[in-house]
Amino acid sequence: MNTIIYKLASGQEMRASAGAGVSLMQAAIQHGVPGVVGECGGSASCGTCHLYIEQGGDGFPPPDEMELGMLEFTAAALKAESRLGCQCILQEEMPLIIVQVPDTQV
Amino acid sequence: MNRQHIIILGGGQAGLQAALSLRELGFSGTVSIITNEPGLPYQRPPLSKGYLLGKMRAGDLALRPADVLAQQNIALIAGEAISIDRRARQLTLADGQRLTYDRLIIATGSRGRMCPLPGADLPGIYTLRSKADADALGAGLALLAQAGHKAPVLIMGGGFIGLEFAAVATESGFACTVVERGTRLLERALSPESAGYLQQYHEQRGVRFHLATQVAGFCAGEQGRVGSVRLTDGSTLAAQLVLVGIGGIANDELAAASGLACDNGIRVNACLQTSDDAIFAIGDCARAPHPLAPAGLRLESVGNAIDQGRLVAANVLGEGKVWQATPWFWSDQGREKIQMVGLGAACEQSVIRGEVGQGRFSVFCFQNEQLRAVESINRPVDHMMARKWLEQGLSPTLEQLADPNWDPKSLGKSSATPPVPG
Repeated sequence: MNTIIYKLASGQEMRASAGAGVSLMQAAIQHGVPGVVGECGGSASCGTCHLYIEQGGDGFPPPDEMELGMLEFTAAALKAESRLGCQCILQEEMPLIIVQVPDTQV
Repeated sequence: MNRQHIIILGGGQAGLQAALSLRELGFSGTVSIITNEPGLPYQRPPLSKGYLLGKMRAGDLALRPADVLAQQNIALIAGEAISIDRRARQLTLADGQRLTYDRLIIATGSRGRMCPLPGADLPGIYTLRSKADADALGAGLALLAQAGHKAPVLIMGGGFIGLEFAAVATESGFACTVVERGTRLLERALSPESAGYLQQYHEQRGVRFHLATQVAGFCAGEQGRVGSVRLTDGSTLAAQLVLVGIGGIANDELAAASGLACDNGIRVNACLQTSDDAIFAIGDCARAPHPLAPAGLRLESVGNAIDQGRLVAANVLGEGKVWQATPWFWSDQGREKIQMVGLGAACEQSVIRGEVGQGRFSVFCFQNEQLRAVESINRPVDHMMARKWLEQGLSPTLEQLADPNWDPKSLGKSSATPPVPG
């Protein structure tokens, strides 16, 4: 199991645990993290699971061209730490992951 | 308001979204979702893709886990509503239960249209809309696989569901034939360019297409299951499994029976309110006026379910928000990602950017020199950009789009068009 801390725009923090194969978007949905929408269910079609990965994301493969393209058009500002949560698939035993949830997705 | 009971009839994507949005907006009264499907509200898009291929398990389909619903104090009631007493504001369920509402949101969705042709009731003929449909279809495929035949699968209708299933069936090793009565695929949904590209893609994977061809009936084969399909030209195609993908029908019968105005969907105003002030309708089952279609538009899509779910929550709580979201859709077929935004059916002119030969292009569709719709095949950036443009009422010119050196990101930033504030 991995632990993810979602820092919400309100300042509140939510802790989620999820196993390998689950994406940061799915883990957020399963734990009812507000601010992660995931309209398309994870097929990188909608850009509504934008997250800023502050810590522990080194184990994720870097974003591909398609994801980088989608990120340019997310509702909140693009930063170096921006990822689509649906494309960040958890592996076995990753270090603690801390992500900031943007204040808007749509 | 916060002591009221809001009942949502239907636990699909739209119904669940309405419930979640009511809570997000601070409604603390009672929220009940009545659903006639077993289990938690689930995602439908994977049913014709990863779920059928076994890449996604049933548990992965849930839109929200049970504890999130409990935490949000959203009651999920299993049952079939059989009547609405509008005067008493009461719903009666098949088990006799009566539930009183202050506001009712109908989100009963749609179902796959079945064709009234001879033999259509033979085992082995399916539609695909719900998880139960997908489970039946998956069991049908498993039966064929067990028998070890290279059994031919036939798809009636060359629309999105049919083509998504064609990709799944060929990936699972079945020979696959699509019969479409139109002269091309996706006639009402996509431009000839995109449809032609997709046909070629599926043909390369072994799918055979019979266009401008109609099914006349189904004939029994082994063990009383479907064995072949008769066409109107008199010929016959072998088919040991048939998927009928010829569109959807709004589940509006209960609304119609209770006297609400219906016309291929429950008629609602731009605020998604029916002819009864206390009743709203959203998602696949609702027909609402839209700036792009003032006479009424009924959409069957996740994007619309979410938009209308959010909007209706605000309106039930007293706001008067008007439905004007830009429609968007997507379809995944094998490795092809198709994204669409806007409504392009009436478009007269189009420009292609990208490389059709390499399977990465977008078709920009124009009507009266205004951009109306964009279809992107494996070009998600174009899709996202076009969504922004259409939402902000921006339109590039045909000439700009036809110029490969024009930078689309410059649109809305030039001195000619003032930048949008914020």
